Amino acid sequence: MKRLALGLFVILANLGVAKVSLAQEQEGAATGGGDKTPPADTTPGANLELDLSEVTGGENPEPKKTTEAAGAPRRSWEDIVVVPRKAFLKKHRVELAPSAGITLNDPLIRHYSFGGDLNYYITDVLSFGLEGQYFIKELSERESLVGLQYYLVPTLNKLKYHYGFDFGYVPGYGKFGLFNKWIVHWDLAVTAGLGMMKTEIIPRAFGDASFTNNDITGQFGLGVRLFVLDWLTLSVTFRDYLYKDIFEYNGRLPTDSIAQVKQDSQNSQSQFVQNIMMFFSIGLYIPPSFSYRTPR
Amino acid sequence: MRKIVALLLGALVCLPTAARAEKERKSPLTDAPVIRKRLELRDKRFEAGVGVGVSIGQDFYNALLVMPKLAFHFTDWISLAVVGGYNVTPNWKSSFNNDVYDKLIEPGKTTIKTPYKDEAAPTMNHIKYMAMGQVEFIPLSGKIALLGSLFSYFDFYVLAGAGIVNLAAAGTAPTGDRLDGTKQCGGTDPAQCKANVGTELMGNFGVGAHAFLTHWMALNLELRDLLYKNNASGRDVNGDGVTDANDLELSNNWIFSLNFQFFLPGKAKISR
Repeated sequence: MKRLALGLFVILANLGVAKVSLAQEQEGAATGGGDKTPPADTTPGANLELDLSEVTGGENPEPKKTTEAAGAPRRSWEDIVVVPRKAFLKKHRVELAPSAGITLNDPLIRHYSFGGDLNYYITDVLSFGLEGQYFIKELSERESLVGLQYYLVPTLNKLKYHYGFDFGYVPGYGKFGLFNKWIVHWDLAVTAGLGMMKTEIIPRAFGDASFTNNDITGQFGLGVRLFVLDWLTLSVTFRDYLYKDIFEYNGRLPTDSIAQVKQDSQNSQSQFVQNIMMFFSIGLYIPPSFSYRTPR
Repeated sequence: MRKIVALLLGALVCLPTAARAEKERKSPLTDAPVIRKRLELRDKRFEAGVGVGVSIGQDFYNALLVMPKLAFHFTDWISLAVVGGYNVTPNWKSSFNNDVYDKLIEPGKTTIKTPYKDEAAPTMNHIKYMAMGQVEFIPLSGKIALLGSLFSYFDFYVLAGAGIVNLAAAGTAPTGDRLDGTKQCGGTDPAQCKANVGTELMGNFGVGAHAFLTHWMALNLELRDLLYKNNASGRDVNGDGVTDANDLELSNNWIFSLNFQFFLPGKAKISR
């Protein structure tokens, strides 16, 4: 019982000490003059040279150290200049970016993609690397209705996988205030590349043999990348894959061999295809940290 | 045992108190906004303009829309807008439409397949016009440097709202007789085909961005999904052999738009 009483006494004593300490702090601040915040200047055009959200790079996120004489008025945030540095440097770093994507522009068949990019940044804005992805197909409701509504079976190919070599360029770098509480740094990236798309026909008649194609594929992309940590980014990218694909020959007979079907399809059923895809990716950077080369 | 409980209790109470005491010793930067002297390009300003929108992934007819937009920004981060859209290309067929139409049978030929070309085409519908209201929430606003030399103010927002869409079709379902004496799909009772035309309520959800070219003019990009009930083909969907209201299904209709928007008053405020 005594021990419990002793414990409670310790708690109460601590509470009392903390309150006295706070009271002294506030009193001290009051005698020191307190925050003398001038009224907000909302005149358009006033003090434009202090527009500190300028995106110029090579800047410093830390406030200037101020020395306060005893008894001098305390500084408020309006007296302190804060100029942030570029938040993320990519030069001479490797980016490993696992990604998930979806095709956007085919009303009959949708593909989900899982893969990733491996890029090396030659400079902060130029990179080259490899890309690879595996596809999973899903037929849309429209595809299933074509038979019911028009007595037709669509001629479709499914995507199997893709790999390629890419170049990247960062034409834009920006930063946002999130609710004017946090600063989010981001950049705009464009990519172009060349690779190979493996596709396979979906035979119109159930049970018929299928053949595959290796299509040389050009790729153009545009993406936005948000910088989260020194080694972590999040990206949303749109890419357009362009290739010439071979579809199942319209006049295929049940007796045709698959080699014959492929030959006939190649001769009469080649078509230029544009596949627009949206990707979400997570960028992991190696080495995980970087150092600024310019003085603050 | 009681001693341990008492000590734990003491520690639990002491730690937050000590932390609070530490917190009370404020840095002068504590209350500072992350961006100072910031141009508030939206706060208490009207926004009006016009642009073009294009549909993405429509089944039978793509749409190129003229899209006027009027908005008022209550604060720098929230606004209310009304948007209209009028389709100026009602005959712009999608590639899927062309593919289907090419495979259908010409009228006059004998076949067990239906529909014939002249039965399928009139019941495929397209967007005629739309009107919607939307609330825009703008959590992100800032600047971008393009090629290291061109600077632009930018914002990103999400939007949500509701509206109406008017759907039209190229014709009406044919009601005559085929060569073999059977009724065309619109002439059966109940009808086997019927274009879904008229006005539907719709939900409006999307994202957008402003890229300010000057303090009073911006490029406005929006990507929205319009959700409404539709039967774009005007044919049976649920397999009961009849085309009626039971065949209407909620559909996603993506529209990408690009507008030139003008802001009033012409001068923007600057924050502390």
